[in-house]
Amino acid sequence: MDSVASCFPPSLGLMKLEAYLPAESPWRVCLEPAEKGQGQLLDTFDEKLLQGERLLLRLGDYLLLIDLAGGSLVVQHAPNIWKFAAELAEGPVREILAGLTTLRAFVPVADLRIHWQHGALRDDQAKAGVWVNYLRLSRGRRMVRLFLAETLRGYDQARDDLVQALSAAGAQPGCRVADLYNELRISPRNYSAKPVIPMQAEAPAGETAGLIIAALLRVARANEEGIIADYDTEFLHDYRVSLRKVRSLLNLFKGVFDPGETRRLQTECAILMQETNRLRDLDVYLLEQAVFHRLVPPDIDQGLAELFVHIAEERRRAYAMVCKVLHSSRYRKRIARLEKLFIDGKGPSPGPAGQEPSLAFAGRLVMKRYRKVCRIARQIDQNTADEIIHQLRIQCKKLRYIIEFFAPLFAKGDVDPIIKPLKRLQDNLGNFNDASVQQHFLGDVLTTSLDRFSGREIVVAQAVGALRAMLHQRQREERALVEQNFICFDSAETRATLHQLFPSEGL
Amino acid sequence: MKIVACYSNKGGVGKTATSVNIAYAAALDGQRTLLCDLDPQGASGFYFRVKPSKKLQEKSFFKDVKGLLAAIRGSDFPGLDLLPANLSFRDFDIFLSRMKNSRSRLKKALKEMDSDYQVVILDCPPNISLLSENVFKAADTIVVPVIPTTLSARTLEQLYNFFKDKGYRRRKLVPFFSMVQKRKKLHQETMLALRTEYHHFLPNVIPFSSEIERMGVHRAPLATYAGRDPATLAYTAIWRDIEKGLKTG
Repeated sequence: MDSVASCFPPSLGLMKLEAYLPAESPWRVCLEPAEKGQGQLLDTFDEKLLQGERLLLRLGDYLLLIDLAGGSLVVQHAPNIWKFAAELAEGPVREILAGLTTLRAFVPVADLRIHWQHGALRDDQAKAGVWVNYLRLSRGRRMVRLFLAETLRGYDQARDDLVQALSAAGAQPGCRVADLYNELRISPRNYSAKPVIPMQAEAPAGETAGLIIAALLRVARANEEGIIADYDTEFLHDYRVSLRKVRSLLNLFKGVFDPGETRRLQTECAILMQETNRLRDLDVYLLEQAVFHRLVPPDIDQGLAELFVHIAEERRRAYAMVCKVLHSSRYRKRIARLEKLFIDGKGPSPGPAGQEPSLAFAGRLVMKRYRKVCRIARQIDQNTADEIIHQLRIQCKKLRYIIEFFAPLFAKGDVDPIIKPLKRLQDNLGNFNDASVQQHFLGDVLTTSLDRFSGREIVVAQAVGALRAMLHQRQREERALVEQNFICFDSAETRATLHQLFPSEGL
Repeated sequence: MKIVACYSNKGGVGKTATSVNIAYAAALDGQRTLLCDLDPQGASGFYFRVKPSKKLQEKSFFKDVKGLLAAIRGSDFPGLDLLPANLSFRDFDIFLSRMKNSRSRLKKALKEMDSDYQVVILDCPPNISLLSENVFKAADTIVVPVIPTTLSARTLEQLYNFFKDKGYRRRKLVPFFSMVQKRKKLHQETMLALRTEYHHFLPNVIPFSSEIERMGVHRAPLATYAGRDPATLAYTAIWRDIEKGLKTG
């Protein structure tokens, strides 16, 4: 089915379109009664729909998902309250939204007045040849008119007649969501958890470090509102990743800033991170809920359900605590100090390496970390202690951060041959670590929290025991993959890419 | 792609109504479905308001892949397309008899649609001919509507005997009772006797319904205007039975 999306001029209504069909055309515009009312435009915080040329509209009980690139519109009923694709009933809108994201909430972007009319071009047998949808979206005094047409298989003649009519009526073929936003005076957020930071190879390393930290602080701050509103878990996740990167940068970019100031800033970041540790841990358990349920036998599943009720309660408490922190003057002052230093000011006093050119500095850092990763990984065999695996995970994370910090210095895709196998190794090490941390958490439940399940201690303990056993098994499985994934990472291609990126550094 | 033929060597047993309604049920289930009208009367096309294809003559059906694909029309229902028939289809047998491998031409033609559809339903004309032998070869399952009367019982027996004589797989034949009036003693007795004789009858039956007759007025599948009619529910159940059979082979 091929499709057409057009913007209608103000003078053109859907009924008037029929007058522009060729005189000999057997097709007529047949319309269903219009649906109209106050509605909303929805998207995720990171604007997945806007970036994918899609519009999600809520109008009464309907959810309308428009694909402007494909020219199609799908509709399904929506419950009164929903945030995630998984909360919708089976249907075409849910299918597309779930394909885009399962973690991010769809939140209101703007209130709109919506007029929606659908119908078809039909022949003398009342058979449809082209489905048509007409939307009038108004915001204050601004208005856009959108026309979508989907041709049914085998009805190309109807499509050709329609295209001719649209052209004669002055409709503009093709629309972009950004243009509609602009027309309706809706400002896009342009949020990215990984903003592209413009940097120069010869710029002093201290200056580049300041730019990176400023961008990361902006990301962290942009997520505060979403954490407090508790739309979804990704606000806190992005917030924490940004602050963790700031902390890592301060730790890894030795000598770019004054050592005393660096230590003070590291402490500030550590305090900011600590405040949200508990909430993120509990979020992760709740996100893994379905996976955990699949791991234990059905007859002890009830115990796991009890455990998750307990975790959800704990999470409520942790969330209230984080909100309190984010609202506190202590927090505001702390974050304002960082902003003043990196966003408004010139950054901390430079250290001994502050003037080194950024590319040379990056090469030194990357190669040092790469050699460290290799040194640890090459001693790993089936008998290596888990502690060494944990060290490898930390070093890999540091290497990834450094490469990503400096990625804007290279052409797009140049660092991919390193990042891709490194990511695979990190996923493997991350799964290994998660299984280990989760076993400890469950161990703590058994030793410290079992009395909270008065009368149900045995079922909960059984479920926790079974889950720990499965997680231990999973940890062993991940452990067995580390050697192979490291061999894939430490390939001739990786070394060749490193040599190409930093020719002055020896391997 | 699974091919389901709706066939009976007796006319007026509800083949087209079955083809239309199970095709609709399959599409509603999310299967990309093609209803292929092989009956020159073109009743399936009529029910979907699709005009007969003028260009698709018997020759292009079996020899011109592009022409065959170009004749497919989207129905007004998501996931359901139609290959409409025309009067030239009445000469299929003469045409097929002049071709090499005259009994497997349909299978070859339908293979071209393998990537487009998950289910193809064949609405077949009521005779035993070269075309029907093509259908018997091409189909994964042949559903046979049977009105529980003496004449229908006789034609079903003829069909089984034909399959036996020609060496076709009799397990492909899946009869089910159509236009059943449970208050009629003859219907009850015939159903009991036939179920005893033939073990592959589908458990669900299509009751007689005036709503089925009204399909010609509405020119749409039953579920679109009589969603709660017992016959509508029965067609959905019959489709589920067929689908289960296709999965288990």
